[in-house]
Amino acid sequence: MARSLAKRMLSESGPDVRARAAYGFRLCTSRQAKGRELDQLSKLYDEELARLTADKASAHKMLGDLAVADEARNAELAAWTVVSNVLLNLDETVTKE
Amino acid sequence: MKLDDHENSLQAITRRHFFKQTGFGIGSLALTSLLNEQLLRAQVAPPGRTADEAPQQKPHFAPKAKNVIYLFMAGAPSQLDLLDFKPELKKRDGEPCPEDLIKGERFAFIKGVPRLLGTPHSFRQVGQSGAELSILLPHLSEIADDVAIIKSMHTTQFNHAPAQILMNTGHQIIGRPSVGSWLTYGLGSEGRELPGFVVLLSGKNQPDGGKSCWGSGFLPTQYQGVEFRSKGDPVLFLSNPEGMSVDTRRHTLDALQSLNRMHIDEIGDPEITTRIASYEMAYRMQTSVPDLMDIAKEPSAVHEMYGTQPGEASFGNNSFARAPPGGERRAFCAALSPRLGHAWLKRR
Repeated sequence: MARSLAKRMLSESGPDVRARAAYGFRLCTSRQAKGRELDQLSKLYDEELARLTADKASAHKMLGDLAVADEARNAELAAWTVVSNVLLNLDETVTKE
Repeated sequence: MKLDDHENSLQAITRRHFFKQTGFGIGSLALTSLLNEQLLRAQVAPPGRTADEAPQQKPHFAPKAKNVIYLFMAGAPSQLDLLDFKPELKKRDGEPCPEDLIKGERFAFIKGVPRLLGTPHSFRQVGQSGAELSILLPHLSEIADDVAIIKSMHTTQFNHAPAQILMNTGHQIIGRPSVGSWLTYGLGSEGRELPGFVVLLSGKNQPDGGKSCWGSGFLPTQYQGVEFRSKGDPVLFLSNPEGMSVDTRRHTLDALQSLNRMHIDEIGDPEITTRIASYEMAYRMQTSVPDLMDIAKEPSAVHEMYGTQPGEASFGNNSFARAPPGGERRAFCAALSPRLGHAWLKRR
């Protein structure tokens, strides 16, 4: 589920990190993300992108059969998968107030 | 403006929660007045702090017991065959039920006039206390003076599910906190690595009373029992997915927590603190649970003594789950599957 959400964030939105994070946030919570919320998500994305670019094996494991030949793309998709994990587990996603 | 803690905690009770709490229970109001204010504050953590981090205040009376191991054996042999001797019933075994007991009453599954069933087993007085125990309990008889037998409890519920819910929550209709929830609510748990209230199920079936037997009722959901499975992974989905390192897990939880806290600041729903606390607990359980349930480490002589076999889903294994290190205070609960009692009766 997180992988598919990550795929949509990559393919249906852009061009930058904040726009993609905002799109994923909106898909999950049905509202616009606030600036500080985007700060948090972007920070997580940047950290994970750095880690997964260096650690290709982890990116592959995380993506399973979604992995492609382009390693840079794999790292991006895997990092967005981590962000998607957070988005899907937000209290606001799980519970409608 | 920075509000003080007390006002914060008042703010944390949303309108919805206020009505839910007051609607459900005068009982909970009475209890909150019995417990000191600090404890109450620990229950509804101020915004921006999880209940997990809220100050753990000691209750009025220092608890002497550190752990409660509660074995709820639904479908066990009847107390009338084990430890509650009824000589008059035995004398009248096979007679029709006296009219004054059943007049005007209707019982599910029972037609006509039922017959009385006295125990076919003999009882004897054991220990210095002279407790009357069935000869079916030779080993318990040897330590009779070390156990307290309570025979004063009774119920009007004789059907499985409502009787089990009554036994565990004090009322036959679901919605009250279970005994383990009250304990963790009232006394707290010092353990940080494991939930204060753990449920271990044995057998193929759940108890007829279902999850209400360890539910938190009108108390916040963080006090409900956490169910462990007795075979395979004790807690499902506790291990990290492929490719996710421990560091990444920590990063995602940090991000999740800070986003959830922003949400608390806005709407102040205390259930969000419960969610944060349970994510954090799950993180700690990633290492503590496998250790707790790994009874294979025990020497074989110990397994022989308890009749346990590592890897098998059994009541013995569940009962044997090791007490946590450091003598922390917590509640434990184990439930055995129902229906054994029926087989027991038919065998006689």
